[in-house]
Amino acid sequence: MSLKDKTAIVGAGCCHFKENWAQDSESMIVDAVLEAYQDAGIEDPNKQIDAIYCGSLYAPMGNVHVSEALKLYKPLTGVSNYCATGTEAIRAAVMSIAAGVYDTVLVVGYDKPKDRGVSGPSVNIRAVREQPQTPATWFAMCAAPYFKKYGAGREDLARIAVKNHHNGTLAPKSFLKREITIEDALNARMISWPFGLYDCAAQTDGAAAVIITRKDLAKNFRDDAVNIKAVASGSGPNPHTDPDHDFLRWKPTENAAAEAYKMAGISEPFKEIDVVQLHDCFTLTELLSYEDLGFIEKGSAKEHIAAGTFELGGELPVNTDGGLKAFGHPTGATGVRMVYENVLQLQGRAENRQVKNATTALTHNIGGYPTGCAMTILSME
Amino acid sequence: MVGISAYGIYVPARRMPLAMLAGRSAKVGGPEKAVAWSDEDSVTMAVEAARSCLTGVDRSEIDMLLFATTTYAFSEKQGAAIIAKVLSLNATVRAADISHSLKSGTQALLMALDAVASGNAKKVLVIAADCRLGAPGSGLENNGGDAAVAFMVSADNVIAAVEDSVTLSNELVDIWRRDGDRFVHNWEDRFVVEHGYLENSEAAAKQLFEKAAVSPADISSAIFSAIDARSHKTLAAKLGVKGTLVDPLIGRVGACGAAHALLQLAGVLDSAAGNEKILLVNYGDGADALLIKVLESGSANKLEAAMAKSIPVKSLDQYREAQGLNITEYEDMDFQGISATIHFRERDENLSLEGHVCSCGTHQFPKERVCIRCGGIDKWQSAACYAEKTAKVKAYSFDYFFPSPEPPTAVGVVEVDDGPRIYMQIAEATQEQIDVDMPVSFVFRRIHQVGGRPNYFWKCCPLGDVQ
Repeated sequence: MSLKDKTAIVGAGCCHFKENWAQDSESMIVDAVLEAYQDAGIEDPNKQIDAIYCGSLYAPMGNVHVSEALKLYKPLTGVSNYCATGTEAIRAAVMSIAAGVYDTVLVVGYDKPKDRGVSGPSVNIRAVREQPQTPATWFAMCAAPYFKKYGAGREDLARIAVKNHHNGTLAPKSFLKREITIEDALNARMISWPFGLYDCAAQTDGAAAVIITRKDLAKNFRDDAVNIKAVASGSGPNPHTDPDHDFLRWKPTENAAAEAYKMAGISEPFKEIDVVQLHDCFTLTELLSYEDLGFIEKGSAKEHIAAGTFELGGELPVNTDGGLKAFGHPTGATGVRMVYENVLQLQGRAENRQVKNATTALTHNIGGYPTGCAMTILSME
Repeated sequence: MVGISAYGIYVPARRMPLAMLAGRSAKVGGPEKAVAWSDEDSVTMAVEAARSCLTGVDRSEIDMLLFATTTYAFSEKQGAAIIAKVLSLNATVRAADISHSLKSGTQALLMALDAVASGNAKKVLVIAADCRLGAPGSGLENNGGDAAVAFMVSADNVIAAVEDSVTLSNELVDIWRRDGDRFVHNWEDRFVVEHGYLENSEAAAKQLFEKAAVSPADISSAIFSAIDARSHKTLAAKLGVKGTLVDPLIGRVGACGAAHALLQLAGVLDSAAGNEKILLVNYGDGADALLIKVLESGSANKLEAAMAKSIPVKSLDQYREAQGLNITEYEDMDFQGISATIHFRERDENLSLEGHVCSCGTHQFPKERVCIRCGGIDKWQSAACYAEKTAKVKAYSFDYFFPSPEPPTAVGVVEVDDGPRIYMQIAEATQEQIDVDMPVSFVFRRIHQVGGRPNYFWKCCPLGDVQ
């Protein structure tokens, strides 16, 4: 069953993504959900919301503290798919409404990595093989083969970091609000070659929420509800064991994109989509995803990066709020945060980072080695 | 005739300049010692020496494995069993650890000779491997080194026979490591040399001369287990032997414990002439004296080649980090370690580097049930061991985040020639060296010490670097 035009977003909220030393998960969840309630005009959530879908990667005891934080007596479902968890929570919520089980559902994505006492991903050694288990190293595997085949290099990656840092300065709730130069990016300390510090997402705490309802009920909440045209997901085995993997693309993204475009009826994504929030966990992830999502030809990212295609004033602005790089990456919250930004863009509420006349928006959320990808396409039409 | 039919050597590539240990800057060509790095220990070195020894040898014929060492991670749990698994030896192999003495290397060799002579064993693999760690600042830290050597003992294709031997057992508290000690300790140096090393070595050698009716003049090479050049010369003078009197390991590898005398023997066999007689005296809780006759002239270069591969340790801090000597006041976060149940399930993959082949021809590692290419379920035709194969790097990165004494850690996806892809670390290669399609072979290494236990897996290194 296609999920096109079955549901709409009537409320969205997001807390300030940062190192929230003084705030716990519950408090961040309240920040995000309160904004979403107000956005949707919800005053009595125990009556107006039927169920909760949520996603978190680091929550030590599952997602039950979402009900605890919100004091809601409602069915609660937690989903998990590495860093694509947030979008998977939205997908599960949309399916539950499309199936006719619920009318109005609250989606919460959140994570609190800064309570663990480590900077960056934790090196929790649980196995003998697959070491190092560092996300930067997994995502770096495509670098040498791609650079070799298409002549791209660290400077092309640096331009992506510079763009996302710039966009981050324009988003009030972003973590990093500092412009950087190409030289800053190239000279930063190495994390996993070819990724220096500025090629890596900023890990932060954060929570984001959306309220989704049946499309025909949306007008009861607000006049400019955002229609969900597609929610799609692709998962696969670890590409490093795939004997046919060419290290130039990730199949889960290609598969999820094919499903999403088919569902939304999109044939020329570069022309038909106006604004994109893309999973820039590392700069190379953003570069490969331009191509895997079919915006541009495989191998042509370098020219488009140089031409500014994906900058705020470019043909297809990507990561208007700074992305994972500058807005921050609280794992389970990220996919929901992307939808939050696209809702603002489509409703013309994105202030000085507003993309003019944006009517169709895409989010792309990736996770694992990468092994999973989940996407949404939203539209005002 | 029973004797040695093959041998192999492993010297770890890291070299610690002795000047750096003393807090001075290292000079090119100055004295140094070989150091088992953070991913190596007696077991991994033993495996590499054995692989070098077993080139072209049918492993299915090996019916006994003796692992001699004074440094092994477990007080209970056999090292020889790990090595037998890694080498894919028959499950019926009689495996044993010979330990607790510097003499254990020659003891294992003599036991192997007896086993073959008795007809109860046909091919015995003897491996001596040791890591000599003295307390920081001690003389033993200066003298000690790490290395391994392996011998195949059999009744056919013998290149060197042990014609006679004398063993002396002697009780003396001169060099020891108590249960739980990290460092080797010793009594006063002159006491150790005079009443330990010299007295016992001299007595064993002189009894051997008498028993075998040979004179010092018949000996063309004399091998001792002295911890320094001076003690070596003193013993030679007392015995009146001439010929080769220099221990090539001193100042380059160091005194490598249970492997020390046997490693020199392997070096002598590299270029020994037929009919040459070798005297080998190994000290430790008494002494073993062996009279060895060369049956086949040597034309190898194994010891020099092993010693030639050298990566200088860059700082005292890196050395201490690799040896686990840097101070920490917290237990590792993962002190529980790797689940023993998971370890049990993953033995084939982790120790034997074993995958399997689907009926569609696809190789897969690890051994999961569904084929990644054809999707067939449980269509596996056979297991396949990749340890002795070559491979190519398909993709790589340098991880500056993963704990290591000298980051970054090189890691890649390698494709075994006609085999599967495996994500693994790249050992001892420079960043400039590593490239897509670089040919590699595999080396057995200690991946980490999670849970206070050594956890082993394979790494790859540039082809041609395996000893």
